[in-house]
Amino acid sequence: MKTKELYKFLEYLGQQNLVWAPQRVNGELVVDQLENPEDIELTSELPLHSFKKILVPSKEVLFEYKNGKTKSEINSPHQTIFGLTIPDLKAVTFLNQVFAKDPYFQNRIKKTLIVGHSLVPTDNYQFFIEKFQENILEHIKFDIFLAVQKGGKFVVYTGSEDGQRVLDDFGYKYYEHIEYVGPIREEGKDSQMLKIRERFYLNQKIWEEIGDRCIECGKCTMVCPTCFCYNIIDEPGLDKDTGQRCRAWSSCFYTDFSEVAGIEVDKMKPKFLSKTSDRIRFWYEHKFVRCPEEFSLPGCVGCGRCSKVCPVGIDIKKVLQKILKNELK
Amino acid sequence: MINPYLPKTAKIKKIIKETSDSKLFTFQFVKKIDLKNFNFKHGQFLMLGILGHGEAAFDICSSTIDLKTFDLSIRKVGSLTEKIHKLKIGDQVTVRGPFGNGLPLKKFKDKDLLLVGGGCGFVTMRSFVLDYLAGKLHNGKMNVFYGCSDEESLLFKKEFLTWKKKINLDIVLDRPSKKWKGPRGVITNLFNDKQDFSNTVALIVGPPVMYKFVIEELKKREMKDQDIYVSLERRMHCGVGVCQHCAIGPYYVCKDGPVFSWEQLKDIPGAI
Repeated sequence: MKTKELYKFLEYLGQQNLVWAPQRVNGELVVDQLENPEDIELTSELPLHSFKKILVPSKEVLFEYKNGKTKSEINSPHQTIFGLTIPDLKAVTFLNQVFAKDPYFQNRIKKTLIVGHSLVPTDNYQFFIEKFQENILEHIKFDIFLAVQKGGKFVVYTGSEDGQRVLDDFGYKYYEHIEYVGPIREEGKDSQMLKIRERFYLNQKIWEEIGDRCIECGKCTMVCPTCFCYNIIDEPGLDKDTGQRCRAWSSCFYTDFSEVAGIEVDKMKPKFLSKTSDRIRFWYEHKFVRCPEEFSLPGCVGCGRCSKVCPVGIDIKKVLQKILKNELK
Repeated sequence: MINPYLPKTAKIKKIIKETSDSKLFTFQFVKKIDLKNFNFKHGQFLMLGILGHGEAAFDICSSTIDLKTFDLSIRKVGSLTEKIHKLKIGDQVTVRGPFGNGLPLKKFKDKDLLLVGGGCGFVTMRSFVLDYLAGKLHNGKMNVFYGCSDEESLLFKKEFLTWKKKINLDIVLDRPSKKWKGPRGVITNLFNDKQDFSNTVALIVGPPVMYKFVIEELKKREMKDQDIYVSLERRMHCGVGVCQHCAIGPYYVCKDGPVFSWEQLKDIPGAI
């Protein structure tokens, strides 16, 4: 596929439904609705905010209620997310595991056409990041994948029946189909992930050190493409006995995240994770202890967004290197 | 696909005011299908809520024999529980669950059971006691230790005479009246050298500060880590092990707990 045909394809998709794609706005690369196909920027640069907001909205209604009766409508619109890099495709793959039994997420992802590309971020976050090789495609979730060639050309792969159908309908037939076989490689779990898991609890001083610097702002959790913690909150309506129960993004760095009921001391509710070092350990624990245990996958795709936004310069790569330096007994 | 966020509806059948800030509520599911499907294991909890005011986790404290209703002992300590305390018989609440595991009683059918409950944590013990009294729990002896602040705050005190016919119940009060003749101070004061815990499994439920000291006492008596169980409290939102609020190390309190063996938790920072 050549660039001209790509624009035509984008125009075709735009006629069917909403298309989200990376584009440059005031010098920043952002994921937004694509109005004009030529505005798309397929680049190895990662948009600061990923596609996460599209698949895991910052707030969504779980059900509405009226006079004690609940009503849930799960019906996401059809949409396309175009131009995800491999780390972001890995994040989609990961979220699909986390929300495997979630009717809201599953409805949404089934109706979302996901189009990735092969340009790999040049930033040097080598943990869990790799150069594009064809053999990784069967382990990441996508509908269509564009392997970028020299001279504005693309080799086209499909990873689902939806992807095949869309290309057939558009009238493009030179694609190769790759069957998704699940996120785990033939050679087994990621060795880097296993090394970090083994050494995670060996040196607690790491958390005290970075806990002294961390200001609990939660920016890392907002930009992380795999952070998905949420609250369930009730929003009463204006009429009596009406309203909705929603879920909304939370952050493990926010104080109410771990508060429990009890007698207040100095106007503070009792809470777990009472120290900053507890909170930052909790964040790393999620990605490098719980996710490997639950999904045999790291909860980090190596995109490095958390390090970019951290106002006190906590660098995930350096933290992981420190964990890896711990000697096994 | 099952929607784990859609609640069932239950009605309040009975309210007993137990202390100045605690009430024992009896609930019944409104729909016949929910009533029929209801079952729980000792130590499990459910998410009780009021539409518009959210949900919170409560341990079930009734018997597993009569499943037509279920009891929750609720202390007024926050905005939701304040609302619940204002409810009357016939009012409706939302229910999700039961969630989590319970104490794996089948593993130690013939061992003695030591239940150590402090404050609100004592609530959890009632479902064990009620089934034990009915001869439907396990075969060993049952010892119950209860630490509470004062006489007025004692939960289920009207039932104690019946309980004591079949179980050993020891109570310690932190700030009792002058009339109190029993032990005073913290819950570990109930341990003495005459007790034999050699063939015992313990379950501890109480305020965070309590666990460490009770576990120390049990370890002094050479109890094994796999025979010491704790039930933990955390903030809960989803109840199905996704939202991350209740996570501890590699575990979720809502899904893998709330009952854990000390063997599972001893090396995890921040667990107790």
